Amino acid sequence: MKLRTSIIVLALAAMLAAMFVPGCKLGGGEKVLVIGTTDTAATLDPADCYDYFASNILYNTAECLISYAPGTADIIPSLATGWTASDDKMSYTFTIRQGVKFQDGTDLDANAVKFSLDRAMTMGGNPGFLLDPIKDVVVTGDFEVRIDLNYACAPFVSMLGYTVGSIISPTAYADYVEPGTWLPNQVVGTGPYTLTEFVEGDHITLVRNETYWGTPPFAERVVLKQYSNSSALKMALEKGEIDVAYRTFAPLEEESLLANGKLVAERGQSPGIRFIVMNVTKAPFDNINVRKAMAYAVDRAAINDTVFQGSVTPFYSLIPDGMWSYKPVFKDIYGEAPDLEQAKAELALAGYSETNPLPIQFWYTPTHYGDTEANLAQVLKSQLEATGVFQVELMNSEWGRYVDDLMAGSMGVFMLGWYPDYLDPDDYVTPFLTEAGAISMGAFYDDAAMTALIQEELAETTVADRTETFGLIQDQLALDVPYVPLFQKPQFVATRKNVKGALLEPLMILRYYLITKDGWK
Amino acid sequence: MGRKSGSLLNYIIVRLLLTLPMVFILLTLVFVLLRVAPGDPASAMLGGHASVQVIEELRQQMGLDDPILVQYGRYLGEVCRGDFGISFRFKVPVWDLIRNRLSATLELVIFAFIIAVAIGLAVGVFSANRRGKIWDFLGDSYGILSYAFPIFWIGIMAQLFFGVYLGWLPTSGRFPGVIVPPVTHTGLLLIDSLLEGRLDKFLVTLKYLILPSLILGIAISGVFARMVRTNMLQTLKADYVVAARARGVKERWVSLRHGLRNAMVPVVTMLGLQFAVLLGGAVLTETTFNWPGLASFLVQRLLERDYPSVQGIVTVFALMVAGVSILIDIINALIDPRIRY
Amino acid sequence: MRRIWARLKGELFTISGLRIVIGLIIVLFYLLVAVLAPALSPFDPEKLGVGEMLQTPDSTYHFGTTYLGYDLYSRTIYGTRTALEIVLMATLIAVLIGVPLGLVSGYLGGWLDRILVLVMDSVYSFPDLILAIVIAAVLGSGLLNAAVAVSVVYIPQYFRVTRNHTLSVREETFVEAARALGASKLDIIRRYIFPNVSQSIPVILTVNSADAILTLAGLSFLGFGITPPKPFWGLDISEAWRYMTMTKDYPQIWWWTAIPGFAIVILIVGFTLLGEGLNDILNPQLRESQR
Repeated sequence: MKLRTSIIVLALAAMLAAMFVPGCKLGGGEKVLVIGTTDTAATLDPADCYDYFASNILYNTAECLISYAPGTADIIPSLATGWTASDDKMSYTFTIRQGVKFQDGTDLDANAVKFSLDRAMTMGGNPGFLLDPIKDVVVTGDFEVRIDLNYACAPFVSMLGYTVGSIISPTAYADYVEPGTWLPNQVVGTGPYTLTEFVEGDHITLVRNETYWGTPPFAERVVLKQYSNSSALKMALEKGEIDVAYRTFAPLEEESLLANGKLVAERGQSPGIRFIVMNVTKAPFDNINVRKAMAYAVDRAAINDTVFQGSVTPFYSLIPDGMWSYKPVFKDIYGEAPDLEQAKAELALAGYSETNPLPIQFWYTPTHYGDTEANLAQVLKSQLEATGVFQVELMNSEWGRYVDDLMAGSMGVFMLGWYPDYLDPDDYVTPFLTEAGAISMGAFYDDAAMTALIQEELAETTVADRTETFGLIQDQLALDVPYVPLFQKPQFVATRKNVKGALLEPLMILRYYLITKDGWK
Repeated sequence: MGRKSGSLLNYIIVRLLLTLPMVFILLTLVFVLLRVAPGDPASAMLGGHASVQVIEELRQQMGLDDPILVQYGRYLGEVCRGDFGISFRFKVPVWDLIRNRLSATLELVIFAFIIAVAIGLAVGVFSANRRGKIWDFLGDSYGILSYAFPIFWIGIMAQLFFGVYLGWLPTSGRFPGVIVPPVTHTGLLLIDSLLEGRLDKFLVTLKYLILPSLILGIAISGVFARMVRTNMLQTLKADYVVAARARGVKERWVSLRHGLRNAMVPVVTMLGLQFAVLLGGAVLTETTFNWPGLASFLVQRLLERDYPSVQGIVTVFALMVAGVSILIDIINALIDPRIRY
Repeated sequence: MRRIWARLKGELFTISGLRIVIGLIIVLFYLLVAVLAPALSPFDPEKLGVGEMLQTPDSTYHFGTTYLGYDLYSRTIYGTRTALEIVLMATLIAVLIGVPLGLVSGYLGGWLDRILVLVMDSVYSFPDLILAIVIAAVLGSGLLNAAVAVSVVYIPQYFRVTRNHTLSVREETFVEAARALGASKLDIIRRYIFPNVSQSIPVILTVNSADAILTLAGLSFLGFGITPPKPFWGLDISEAWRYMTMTKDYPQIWWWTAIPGFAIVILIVGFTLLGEGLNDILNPQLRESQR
């Protein structure tokens, strides 16, 4: 009996001791930055990477020909020191920076640039279509590359700043050039941090690149810890287990963090948009009246109130409010508040009424856009059913399957979001309203007039001209309604008080290399 | 009963052979289920923008156009070699994904098991000794209640209380980001941190491990408690126990030594059966506590329709269950030499 | 059935009897609530915004409201419907498949029996919840799919018990006699074996129902089977869980978490007590061999 008692006492003592062990004082002097998030990264292969978190990791570990000045949308040289365009804008020549080494020791040269861009174009990965304008990449010198285009493309240089244009080491990726042969959990680039550990869904470790050509980052080691829900993330931040928390908190949690005097929290404008997609080839959404009814029925103000506690900004086009050429076309045509009578009228034109209701399946994905998604879906359901004609069944599937389904066209109406790859209104138009783009959005929209307008805006060279064309594009968007824009969700970041440098950026890049803590040199 | 007392080795071999069919049946079940489900693996692997031609090539490569039986045969062959295919979502071999997480689940399950046995023994012995009194009734109720309370629910309540309100324990995860985890020898952080000689890492690991394993352990312990109590009650009535009491052996020793040891065989068997329940409970515990183990991973893979991963994980679980079952039989055979072939 | 009733009456005031009574009261209470749900709930459980967000329980909203303004009281009441509907469906499916298979397998024996036993034992020894979530994931969401997922886990139980019972009844003299008289196998099974075997079904029924509710709660918590805004306790708990860190500002979140949980626990306790009480009385010898 004595033995048993003493064992129990020992066990309890150990547990009590463990409870009161602080988590943070260990680690002895190393400059570690721990960033928490609820995002997951599917693949770090730049040729296939098209989700936010993986892109962000790539922004910090690999580099492109151009970059953006921190906190702005201004293009600055990165791996290219300068560039010139031909007169007809069909050809761009880039001068490559010298003396740069990849993280595996290989030297950067024009061949590496050609290798990376060719690979991204031929592998058939998710973001590959962004490089469609490129016809050919020609090496014109050890440190000079000329890119010839298929068609004039005004935002072309900007596009190269997205991670699909990451320049990677030809040595490391030599065996991964056939379609389907990805390198998903490693990356070898030229960036300020080197990836050392990628435990899918749990954490990712980055270590300072000591041979980096630019300004060295502050933190020696960055640990990206992944949490499966926002309450765990919030708790971790409050307890000091992480230094920075970015994406994605629920609105109530954001309020709480903003009010917490022990933390620093900031909400900022974001170019991220949320919208409804309708597959225009799938009944009943092939009927324009049904689509218009949907546009009439949504109540953005109610969504803002009920789901988001007033923290989002309703918007009325695909191009975000705040970007040049924005035109609130949906407000102009469908009104700011929902118009149930008009919605019913449109549905009547399509042959549906209260005696002949329209049953639909409305899809959403429960975690990818944060935990508020299920709430958003339920609110939309009740708004649509307020017409008395729509009968909504809510369906959901996780992100991986969701993307499969949307590309296969099996979802008739569903919710989606978009973060820009490059800062130009074109990035809100081409991926949505061209034939190829609309396929990848699951809308399957294809209109000759629209396509012509898009080609026009790409070819035009002045902002004034392009603004005019974008205006026409948005007008037609509101008439064809393959998408119903809902709102723009602001960015939100929360850090502990001793953390500095976690900027909210127009492109939503979180630059780990700029983050530092008080007391670090 | 006509059993010859054969060698232990014979017994082990026969048991192994008998459990193999179970694993095969489960493999087949999973295979059928996942082929029935819609969705094309090849286009899922390649991502959205691949051309039809490239998809078709990959289908050929993956052998997806072969007759079902051929695919089945190949699948079995691959499984035997430990090749579980490539995950759709992460595009890496499934086995790599499983390997990382298996030890997390094992650590949780083992610790929970220990706790469950400890509680079960304590409650069972305690209430058996006090037959008919209030403790007996409470012990019995414990059995029912610990089963009826859903794991995820007590888990959440515990998180709320110990994590949010008292702030003593973390509510999620296995290890904080700030510290470098101990060098991997066994994959079990408790052991690895001791091997590294870092008491601080050991204590931190314990801090994260306590709540999930306690919850899981409690959930399983009810059955043990009742089992132990029932068996002890029976043995306590046996003649030799009465004799021991008559000889004046102290009451405590009577129950412990004589009652307990003979109660063990069916209890050990019960442990084996409960392992399956433990794994099921681990799914809920790991999800509730964000524990990066194989069980919560299964849920994620299922939700994302990453079928190769699901196949692999289910196979591993089936093997684990089969393995434990064999182990239990062997232990029983060791305890009771009458059980042999 | 008369035999059962006689035994029950005799043992009513023992512990076992008490268990049956309490269990029965609980289960019947839930059944009543499920049937009378529309009359008992002040609000439509699937209607958004009947109240303000996250209200404390008061006279209008007896259990408070959720984040989207659903009335928790109504949702809890309707939850009994969802729970009992699915459990009923699942049990029906499991019985309809497990019992006939058990009868046939036990009576005919041979290769069929061996294969079936192997398959059933394999499924039986595998963790319930894992099998259920795989099936639910493949089938997709929906009440019927959830019921099917849950039922598959319990088919082996019905199979086993039926088969065991069949095996013993098969050797009885009156069955031999019927065989000698030339009765067809089907007839024998139907008229002689089944009635004898069926008395063990009620016990499994109740214990399985307890397990089924637990499995269902787990399924919905993980996100399989039942989707919002369908009212079900497991789903409500998983939603409340997301607001966990807000409890200091909104203590009513405790209610949102606790009440559906209690609803689950009490029902399971009810079924378990009922099942165990019945078991004690009807099958005192079989007690140890049950899981």
